[in-house]
Amino acid sequence: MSWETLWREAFAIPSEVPGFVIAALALAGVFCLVLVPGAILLSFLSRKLSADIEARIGPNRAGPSGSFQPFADLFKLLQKASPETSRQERIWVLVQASALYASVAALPIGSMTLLLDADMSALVPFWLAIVAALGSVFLGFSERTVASWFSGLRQGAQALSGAFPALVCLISAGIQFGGFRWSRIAAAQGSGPLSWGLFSSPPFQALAFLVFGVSGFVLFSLPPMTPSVETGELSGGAGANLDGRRQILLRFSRFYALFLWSAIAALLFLGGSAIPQAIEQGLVSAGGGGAVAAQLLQMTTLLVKTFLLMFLSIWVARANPRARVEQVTDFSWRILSPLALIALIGTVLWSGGKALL
Amino acid sequence: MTQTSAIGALRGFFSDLAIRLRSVTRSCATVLPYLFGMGEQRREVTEEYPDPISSRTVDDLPPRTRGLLFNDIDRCTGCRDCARICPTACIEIETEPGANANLIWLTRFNIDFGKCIFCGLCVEVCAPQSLVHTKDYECAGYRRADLVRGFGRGPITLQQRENWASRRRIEQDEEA
Repeated sequence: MSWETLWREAFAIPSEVPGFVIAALALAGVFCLVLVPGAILLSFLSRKLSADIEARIGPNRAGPSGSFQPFADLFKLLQKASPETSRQERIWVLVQASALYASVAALPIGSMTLLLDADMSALVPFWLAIVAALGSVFLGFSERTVASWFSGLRQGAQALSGAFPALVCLISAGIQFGGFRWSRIAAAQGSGPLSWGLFSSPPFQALAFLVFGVSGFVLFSLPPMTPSVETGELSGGAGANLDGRRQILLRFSRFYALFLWSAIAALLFLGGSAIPQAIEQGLVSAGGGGAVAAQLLQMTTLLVKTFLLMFLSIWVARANPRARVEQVTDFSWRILSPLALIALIGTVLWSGGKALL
Repeated sequence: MTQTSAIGALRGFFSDLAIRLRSVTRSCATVLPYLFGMGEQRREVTEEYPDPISSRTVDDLPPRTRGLLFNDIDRCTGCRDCARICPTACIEIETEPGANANLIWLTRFNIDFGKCIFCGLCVEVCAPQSLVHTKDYECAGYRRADLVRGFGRGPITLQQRENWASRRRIEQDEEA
């Protein structure tokens, strides 16, 4: 059943309403109801958790226990005006952010939001991530200072070093599932941990999961792999000249990148949004709002897995020191890439062996 | 590459990987007690900013608080030890000979709190203990010049300078 039929049935949308309107509504709904509240919540939790880990007090001024801190940050950033923001910078921020945000169309948060289910749909967020990384590089190049150019170069080098192992792991997962179609990947996995992609060709898919997760942090410059972004901020590099509204766009894109990568990892290796078949069938056969409830349960399952992965990343990021940019690229080329290749070769042999037997 | 060196390289790769993995997992395990507030790591080590919101006063600050500097000009000998040891060169001293050969007049003793890092080295080297850290910490201003605090006695008049010079000459003559 396609996503469009699910929406038409669930919300009794008449057949005259064209599909693209429903798609637009679905995307707006995912953004407004899932991503933005998730970003606000995660931003606060991330600060509080970091404070706990580092034996600090953390946010405690805005609202009860500092819970309004994300809003305080938002209002502070909105006040920041920068007359120096050039036209080129505006364009590249837009390219970076829109490429990244567009990936939500190819991200199935439950089968109801499976808008793009083509043969290569699992690769679409990856390619959009590459475009977003290039956007960051050109944002650095479009600024007027040498520090910004170098910041752009660093981001390019880091994104490239992270993209290679990530792509290799993605390919190994595709080989394991026999394709890159989201519905195929979802169908190949079950709700129980033993039927997840992670354990499908042990230990190669587990290795691919680990490498895929870490290389995402390198690709998007997420903590603790943030040298290219942070040196930029310190020395007036890429993005330092932007005004507040565009800074919000950039910062939210960093949260979204973490969300995107965690969601893809959960979809490929942790069973995605699969719920036990008995529950799903029971809910659907109950009629009424049962189908919608089953969809919501699927969505919640995926979001819980995604947020757990995000929490894990915050934990690792705060417990470990940040690396320099050449350490990150060195780690990515010399450690992650060989491991990704081992995972790929192992998966090929495992799947080929199974097919032959 | 011989077979042995290839095996050695492979072994090196995996042992390096194991070291890195162990380091990361140990770091993650170390912070767990802080995360869940277990045992000795229950309390935060940072202090809240001492302002009316947290009901803190200057008296609540620890005894060795390194707040803004104060120079007792009556005790200061103008030896410049503080200015010499200051890593940020935030202390500016100007002196001239005083009323007698043993005295100096501190025309200017300026501390630029915009540069000061409150390291406390100047207080440590101050032999007459005229330079001390106070518990004052509020130093915000609208101009950089507002961050400079002066403790000097100010310039003397030409007449006074001549009077002191003649007095010192008389003293020297008497000693001679």
